[in-house]
Amino acid sequence: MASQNKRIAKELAECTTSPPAGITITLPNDSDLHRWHVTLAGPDNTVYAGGQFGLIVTLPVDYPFRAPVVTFATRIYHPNVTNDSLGNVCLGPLKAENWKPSTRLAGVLEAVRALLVEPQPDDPLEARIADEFRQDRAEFEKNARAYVVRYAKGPVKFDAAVGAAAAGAEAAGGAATGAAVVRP
Amino acid sequence: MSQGPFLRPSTCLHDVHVNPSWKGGTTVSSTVIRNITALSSQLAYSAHFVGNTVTLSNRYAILSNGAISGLLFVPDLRTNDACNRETASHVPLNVARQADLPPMNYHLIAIAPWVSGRCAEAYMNAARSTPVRAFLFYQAGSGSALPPPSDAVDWQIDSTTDWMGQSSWPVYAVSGMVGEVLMQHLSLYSGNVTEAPFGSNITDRFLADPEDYLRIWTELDVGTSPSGFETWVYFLIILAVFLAVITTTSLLMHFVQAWRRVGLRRRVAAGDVNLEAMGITRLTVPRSHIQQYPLYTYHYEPEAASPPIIPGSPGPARTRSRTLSGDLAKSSAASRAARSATVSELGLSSPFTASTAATDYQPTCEICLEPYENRVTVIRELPCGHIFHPDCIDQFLGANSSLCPVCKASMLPPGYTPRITNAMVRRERAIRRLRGQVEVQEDGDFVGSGGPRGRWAATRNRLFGRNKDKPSLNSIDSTELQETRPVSKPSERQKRRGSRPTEPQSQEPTNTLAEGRMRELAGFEPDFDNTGSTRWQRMRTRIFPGFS
Repeated sequence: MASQNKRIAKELAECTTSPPAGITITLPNDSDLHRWHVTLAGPDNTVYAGGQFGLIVTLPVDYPFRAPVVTFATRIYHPNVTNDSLGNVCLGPLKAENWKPSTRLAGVLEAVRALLVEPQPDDPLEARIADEFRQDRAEFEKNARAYVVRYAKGPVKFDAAVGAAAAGAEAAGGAATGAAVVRP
Repeated sequence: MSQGPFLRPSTCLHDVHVNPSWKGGTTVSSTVIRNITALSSQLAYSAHFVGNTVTLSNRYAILSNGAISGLLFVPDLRTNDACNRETASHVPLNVARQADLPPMNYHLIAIAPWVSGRCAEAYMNAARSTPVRAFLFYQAGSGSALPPPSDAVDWQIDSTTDWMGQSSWPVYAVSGMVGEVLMQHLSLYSGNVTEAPFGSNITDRFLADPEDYLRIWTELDVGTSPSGFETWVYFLIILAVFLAVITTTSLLMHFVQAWRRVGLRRRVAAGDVNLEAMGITRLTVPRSHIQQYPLYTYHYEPEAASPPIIPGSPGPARTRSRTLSGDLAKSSAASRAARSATVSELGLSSPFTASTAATDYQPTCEICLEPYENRVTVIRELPCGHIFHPDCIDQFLGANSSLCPVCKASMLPPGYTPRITNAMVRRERAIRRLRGQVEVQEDGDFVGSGGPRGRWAATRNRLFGRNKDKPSLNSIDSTELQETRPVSKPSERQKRRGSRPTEPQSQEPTNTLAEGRMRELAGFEPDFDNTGSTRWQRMRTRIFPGFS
């Protein structure tokens, strides 16, 4: 456990000293390394430019062995993000079968940013938005920009999705302790 | 009128009853019925007729325990009725009439000879004013033969009136002999006790008042109603068939599933299938096997060029700068050199074709990200060439996963098979189908694929009219369908895979119903940590394994 916290601290230091482009990281609670609040600036030359998107990164207790959970705290109009207050993201490297302990959070956050640059409509969470993205790009861009204006301007509020993220963290923790009991 | 098929063998029980307290209607409330025949069959009259009854009308049959019972009597016709004369030869003068019965609301059973339809109607009209529960007819002089069926001409009544509808009781026919015997006894037991056969004995034995009356109590056992009987039989048959079908199906599915489990276990043991890499289940490596992986002291001699810090980033081929203590270093060098060095970025590419580079230079433990200290840190090397702190990798392989944390190569001992469950079989099949489909699309030759997988894909192609050139399913292409089995066209697949993370894919909508279903089946959510299935679902899976 100690070594795992050490790894998280190391990654946090890495991410704060030389953060990936457009990303700033804060800890809502200094004593809790397992919850990160990330502010992601909408990449330039995309429909999300000018928006500030809040991400909540929740690290399971056995973090490098299990994938972290990333959710959007800010509403975003995107084929791969659920269009609700949960803000679940479909991210390849975070899927249980794809996760590798050698994957780093900086990389994960960059993947999220890459998803804003290049949505993946073929693996959508919001099928309707994905269809719109493929078939009526102008309409998609209009809607996405409207969402940015409506939700992603001004300082990021992380409260909206905190409840959902907390529930996810508890679930992850529960699964982990369960596994620990089963395999002494 | 209906008749016999539903009428079970009937019996008529004729018991003699003493009615000790009834004296002409003044002491009605204390009337008691005692069944004398139950006490002494020698003294009182008792008979039992079996299978001698035909149902003429079973409307309004009010049964208690499958029987109709009551005191037997002959209804009174109007005094000027011609039928009195016509039936006089069959009805003795002193038979029990209604006037001879207690003035209580007893259940009564009427009996009369059938001499003509008109007289039968007259008797039934007469009985209508009494609390009759059933009417017995007999054809006088017809012997012991079963009476004719209800639709026989013998039972015709030339009248426009609906006599069956007007009578609020069932009508039965007994054989002539039975009717005559009943009629004879009815005349014997119509007075008070002293007038009955063995009357004085009954008085002595049962302390009956000589003024008490002995009457005949009749029970008609007509069984349960026929329609109810048949409904039950049909219900039971349907239930039995249903259960048999379910049992057979269940057994069959269990058998098929067991057969599939054996097949999957064989393929897992042979190394054709990697359950964890396919996302089917989490596996762990036995501790004893982990301990067999060699331990070395980390030894790094820096050379001229400073190696890049970030592992996993592409770079030029580097000289081998890590040496291992012990003579194992030499043996592993050759294999390591032969390993491919394609970069795996964020786990998006297949671990089996693109094992990571940097097995030559690994300055930090990829689990805890701590750098190794030269000539100090003890490291464990996995067969794929990746090195870790023993503590880190032992915990990871022993409790979390069977795959290398960096390249996802399987660390399971050769031939090792976990317990194969039905869920694993189902998932593996779904993924294999998907994979077959992808291969078919890539090869553009679904006829030649052969085997059940190819046939399946071909059928689906025909059914859904899919466009072969359409590179659909790319979201679930090779990255999620990894198997260690070599694929038919590796170069083409690799090209496709390499371009996947950034290149926007086909814009055509690919959502056929079946495809969605396949995605669902191949989805990874439910079985990794198998929760959330309801009790009903678990039961269904237990009875019908493989049902999905």
